[in-house]
Amino acid sequence: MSQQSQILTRRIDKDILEVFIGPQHPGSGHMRIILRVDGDIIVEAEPDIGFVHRTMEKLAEGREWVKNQPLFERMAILDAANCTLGYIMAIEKLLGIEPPPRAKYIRTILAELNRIASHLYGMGIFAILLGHSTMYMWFFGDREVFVELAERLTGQRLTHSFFWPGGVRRDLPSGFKDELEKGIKYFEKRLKEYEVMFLKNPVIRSRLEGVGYISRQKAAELGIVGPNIRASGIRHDVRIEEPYAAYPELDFEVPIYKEGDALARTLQRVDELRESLKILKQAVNRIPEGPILHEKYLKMFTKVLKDVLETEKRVKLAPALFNLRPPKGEAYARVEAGRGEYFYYVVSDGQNKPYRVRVVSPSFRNSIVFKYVLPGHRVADLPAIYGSIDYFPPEADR
Amino acid sequence: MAETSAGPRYSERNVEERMGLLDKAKMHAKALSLGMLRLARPQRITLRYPLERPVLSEGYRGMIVLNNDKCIGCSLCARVCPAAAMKMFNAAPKKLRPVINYERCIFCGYCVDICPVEALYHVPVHDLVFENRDDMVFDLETFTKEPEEPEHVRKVRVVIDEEKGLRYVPVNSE
Amino acid sequence: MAIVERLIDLILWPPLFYYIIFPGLIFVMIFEMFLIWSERKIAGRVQMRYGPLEIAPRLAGAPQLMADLIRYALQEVIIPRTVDKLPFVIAPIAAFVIALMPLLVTPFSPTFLPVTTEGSILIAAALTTIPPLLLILAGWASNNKFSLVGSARESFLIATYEIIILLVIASMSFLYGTLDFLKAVEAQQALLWGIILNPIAAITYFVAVMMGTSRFPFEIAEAESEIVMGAFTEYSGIMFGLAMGISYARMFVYNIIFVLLFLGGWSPLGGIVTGNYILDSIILPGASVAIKAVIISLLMVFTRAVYGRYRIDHALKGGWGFWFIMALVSIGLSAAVVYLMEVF
Ligand code: SF4
Ligand code: SF4
Repeated sequence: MSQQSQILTRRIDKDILEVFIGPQHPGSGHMRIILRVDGDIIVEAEPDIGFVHRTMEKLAEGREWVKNQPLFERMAILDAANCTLGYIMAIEKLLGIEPPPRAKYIRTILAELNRIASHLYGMGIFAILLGHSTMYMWFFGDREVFVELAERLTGQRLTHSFFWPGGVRRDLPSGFKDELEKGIKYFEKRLKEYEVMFLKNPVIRSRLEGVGYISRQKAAELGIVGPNIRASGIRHDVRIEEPYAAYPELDFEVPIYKEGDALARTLQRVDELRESLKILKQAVNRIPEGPILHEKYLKMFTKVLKDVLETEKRVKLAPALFNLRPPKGEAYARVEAGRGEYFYYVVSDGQNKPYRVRVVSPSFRNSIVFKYVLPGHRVADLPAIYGSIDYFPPEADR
Repeated sequence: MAETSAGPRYSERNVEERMGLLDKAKMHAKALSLGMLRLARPQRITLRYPLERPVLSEGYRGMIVLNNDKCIGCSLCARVCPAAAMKMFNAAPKKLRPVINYERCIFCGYCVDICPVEALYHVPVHDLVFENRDDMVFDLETFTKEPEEPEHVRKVRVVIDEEKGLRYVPVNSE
Repeated sequence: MAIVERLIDLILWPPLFYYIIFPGLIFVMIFEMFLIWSERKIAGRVQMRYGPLEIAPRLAGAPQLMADLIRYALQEVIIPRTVDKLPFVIAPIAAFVIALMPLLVTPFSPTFLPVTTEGSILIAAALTTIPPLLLILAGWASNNKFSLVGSARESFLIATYEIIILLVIASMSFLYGTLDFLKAVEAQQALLWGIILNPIAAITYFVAVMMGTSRFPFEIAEAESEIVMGAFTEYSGIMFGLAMGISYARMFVYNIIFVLLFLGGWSPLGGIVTGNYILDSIILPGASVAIKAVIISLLMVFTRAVYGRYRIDHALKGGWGFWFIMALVSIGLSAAVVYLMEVF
């Protein structure tokens, strides 16, 4: 047998059917899961990722530091603030600066708005995978409130590109606090309805209970992150482990579930929504006055720039920020995004472009779950597991 | 609000027990009646988009317009553009001016933010129709004019509401 | 003029009128369009949106379904090279036609029915069991993994819901002591509606029909996020439209049976006598049966807005473990009612 045919063919046991879920399948997203099924039971699953790979890390090496922000945003566009915050924080570490407190609070507010939007998005997809079209629409409809709030703050619905190294691009608009509080009140009411319609709906319950169980040990072994690992009983949240932005000053809980099944992961997300609301409420109330950009750069502002900052509360991009040349060295930053921990590792060789940017995204770490969790389940459990992991292919593929 | 801030912490929680038959029947009834309630009193947030258009929030990063008189031709905007949407060209000898290609622009607003003389600004329009791709490359003339929205659309203001989430209040234009 | 009269005569010739116009093909088509439209509207209302609206907003988007139908009709029908052509083409058409066949024996008024037999309940029940088999055939002929899985699921479900439905129908005919719809309706008029006499049977029948016509939460055989479109994955154009229509047609027929067995048939309007034959024997009783069937169908499509879908083993467990027992209980209840009626 020639070398090539050995590569191309693979023996499959008798009575085993190979089913390709994706990439053009209504329930797969931009990825493929190759299933081998024996009757209705999955015996082997292989996540096949990379369909939306965009060579982001390489692209980042050819652009000035701040220009990479809109690029990295496109990993998880529904969670744009969280997934670029890590990059900006890594640059700040290289530069050895800290943003002023007000900027930190604004970052926290946007990060939590994004977390809510991202969880709602994930759960909406989850609901439609389970066939629950109403919850799909409700989650997406209510997400609109938070997207709208983020738009008022940043000027864009999704692609916020909201941070400068050492600060943020805009101050809170006038009346933002009221609007946010209204949105929170509305959403608290809706959470009760979610409970009836989705979380305690007997049909949904029976689909989730005991499905896709990841033991504490397995979760640690596989190195999964985010709500998924917390639902398996492991205490891991970057907001607590390595506090950043204004989180250490705020009072909130990070829920931990021990069960580790799809239901625990779902409840985990809903509880995190509640906590996010708490964080938002505190953050808008406690936000201190002050500058929103590091003074080192404020000093370099020309008159026009200062005028704009005062009248429109908009931080213009000082040429010094654009021509950033961080000192030689390396730095990393971790951020807890909606789907889990983002890890950025940047290397500077003193030029105005990064020498290397390494991103480890949460979905990438979670993608391995499919290989170990799916076997033994029914084909019909695939959507329940896929949805409860809240896997987002563009984030994994980068 | 309690002033004693406890800081972030973990809290262990438990999934409830499996439901018994009676609980199931109760939750079925609850879910069905919530559905019925919503059927009787719908709570819509659909914006009938091409017919109604939202008034974009203040500071929305919409389309970009050049104020030709202010521009000093420094090329910073073209240099900062992460999508290479903005390019400089010689409008007259020794007079560089930027033009924009909306096929590439990602509305990041970097160009507006870097312009040292505020020659670029956003207008609250984000949706224009182009008949072909060439039209999306603006020349100096189109780039210095503010794009206009079609006349016959109803403008609505988006209001965040405690009861309905989002409410659309018509802007009285007529 | 004679020709026109002849034509009118021909159209009004009961068997033809019955099978083509009311309650046959044309009425079922209208019913289906109305039902799909209202399904989308109901879901839209619950789901914070409008549902179909773009075409004729004044009519709440009702012509949308006409547009869909036209689109299906004009779309190219693709028959993949790998399918088994004959069964692939025949299965959905035959399933649709056979799905409507039980209408041959279901009366819409004491006098308005094409085939009079003593065993009409039996025939109707027997005919309703055939279309699912053709769906399995369609999936088998498609030669597609998803279609096969869909067919396999359907075949599991058939065994469950058909037995439940047949048991419930048996319990009701036991209660009325007849196998004829006419007599069953008469018995209800004399006594009480079936739904009051044997509510357990009514609920069980309702759930089993939802299971049989893949309403949510039992939309398992064509679960989109799992197996694309089940047995109909490979279909396109008008064939796909037809395939979609089958479950609605079956739901209509099942609900006619529901009305006749449980809701007193043509009860409220059927008793009115105006002297006009057509009004008395077709329109008024027919309308009351049809309206009741539509209401029941609307209830069935409403569940789409509340539920996700069960996994197949949950549905089977629920079917055999709970509703099957309920069907047996309903037979017991019927026996009790019969006994009580004899005592008093
Ligand atoms: S908004 Fe961003 S992408 Fe568009 S022209 Fe300006 S800098 Fe370039
Ligand atoms: S940055 Fe401003 S001044 Fe400089 S070329 Fe662009 S528009 Fe003109």
